[in-house]
Amino acid sequence: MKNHAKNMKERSVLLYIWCAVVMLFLMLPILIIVPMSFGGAEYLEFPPSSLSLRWYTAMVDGDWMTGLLNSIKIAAGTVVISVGLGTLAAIGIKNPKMRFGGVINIICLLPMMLPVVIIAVAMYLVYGSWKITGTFPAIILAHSCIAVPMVITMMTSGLSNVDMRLYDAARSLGASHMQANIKVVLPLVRPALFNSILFAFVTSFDESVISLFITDRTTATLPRMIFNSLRFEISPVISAISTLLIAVTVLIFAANTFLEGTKKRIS
Amino acid sequence: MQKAFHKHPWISPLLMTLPIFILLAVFYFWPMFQMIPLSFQIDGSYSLGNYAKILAEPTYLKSIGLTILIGLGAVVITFVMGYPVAYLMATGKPATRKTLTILIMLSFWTSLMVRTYSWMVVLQKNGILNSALLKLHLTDEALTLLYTPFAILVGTVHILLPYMVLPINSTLQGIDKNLAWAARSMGANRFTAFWKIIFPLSIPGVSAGVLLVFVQSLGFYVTPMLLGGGKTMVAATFIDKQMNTLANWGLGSAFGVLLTLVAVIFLFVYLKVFGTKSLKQGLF
Repeated sequence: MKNHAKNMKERSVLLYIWCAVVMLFLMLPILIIVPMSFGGAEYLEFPPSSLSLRWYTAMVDGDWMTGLLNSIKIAAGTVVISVGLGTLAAIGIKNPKMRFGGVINIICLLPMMLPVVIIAVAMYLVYGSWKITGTFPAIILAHSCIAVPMVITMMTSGLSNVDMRLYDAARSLGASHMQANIKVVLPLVRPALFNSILFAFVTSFDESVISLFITDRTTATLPRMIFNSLRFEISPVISAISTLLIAVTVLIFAANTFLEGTKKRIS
Repeated sequence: MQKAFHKHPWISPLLMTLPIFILLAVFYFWPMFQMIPLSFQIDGSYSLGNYAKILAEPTYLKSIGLTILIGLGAVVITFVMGYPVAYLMATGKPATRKTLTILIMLSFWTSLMVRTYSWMVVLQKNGILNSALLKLHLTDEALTLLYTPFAILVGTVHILLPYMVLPINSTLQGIDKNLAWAARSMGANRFTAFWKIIFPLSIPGVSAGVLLVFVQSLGFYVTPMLLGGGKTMVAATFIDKQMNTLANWGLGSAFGVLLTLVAVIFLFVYLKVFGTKSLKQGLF
């Protein structure tokens, strides 16, 4: 028995080591960027031999901030459209009286399953013939399509936890279909709604392939600008931008975890 | 009108899905379908010429092969790296589970551009990996790591690893732990209990992970362009070259249609075997 316990312990030590190695692989390259971005030398070095904020000044002086602003605008628009339409559709799909729910669900998942580069090229060609490439509405609508699978998945799974008999009860008490959904069903899925907003925002903010094909100089997003810069050189300015993005990610993530934690404590 | 709705109560839920259906139909599926007629077009007339060209030209076939190979490589590596993580995430001590979840989610949320850039910095000729290898005398001269298929694979694995871990973790969490204990109490050792009971039950999660990793890797564009330097001809770089440099719309479209077909067949087989439910469970 003692031998057995020891054996078990060894196995689980191996498991822990393996997981630690995988986590290092995931985090180390990202974390190395942070100190490097404060380097004072002409090129990237690790560890930096001198410290400065020169790459941050270069970042603010360049037109990077325009790209950031474009990305935020597009992501905000994407949230409005994909979460608005996605929530409506998810409530429809989850309605017990719904037909074809499964088929519509699969259709909504497809934008995540089909190769991004193909749809990017297709959008470039077709949006081009419609003369809408490079406009904010076109990019927002394109990003909304890409955000739909995540929103639908989160909203339908959030709705699965809702007892739909409450909808029936509201209907039998005289509420219309829409009233029952807005006043009874929607408040019950607030956490899922919150997550959908976050995911839709990040999906659009991080989207690069479609943006590369259908944005132009005036609507260029941050990922597009980073991509174009990295095609020519591995510039240290990108390390400052990366650090900024990492900081924002950590902040949003911490806020999200904190909010979820407080919610759990309340309920 | 109100009465008609009441008679057919399924119409109003169906109407609720109409706006998203229109959005996807007009701005996603319509452009996608335009690739099909375009792929049959050569010099203004329709023929199978583009497909014949792809099937006859070894370099084109090689590029499809390489794309699938990198996808399969990413599937195998993310599985080997990710399964133990998912397992510990589901069964470890609360603190371990929490730490692993936070790290996986943080990586998942970090911008794809940032992650690609960080690998460029690590893998470049005078980068961190090379200087470490030189210092440890593991190599005599700096290796060419960046702008190779190897770099593409590393970047792809790094970006897609969470897509393997999360679905496996969610199925593992749904498995009744008493099953493993029951097997143990009847004389199975820890490994047998895992291999005969837990692993088979986690197959839906594994397959969802395999699907997500493989299908997404097919469409990767940024990673082969930046980490591969656009030199390694995978599907994305090939299509980009045909479309943007050579203005060879028909050939690029035919290639795109073939690649989409690979993804659709993969998805179809998956849905036939496991059903929609396990895919959605896999997503979150």
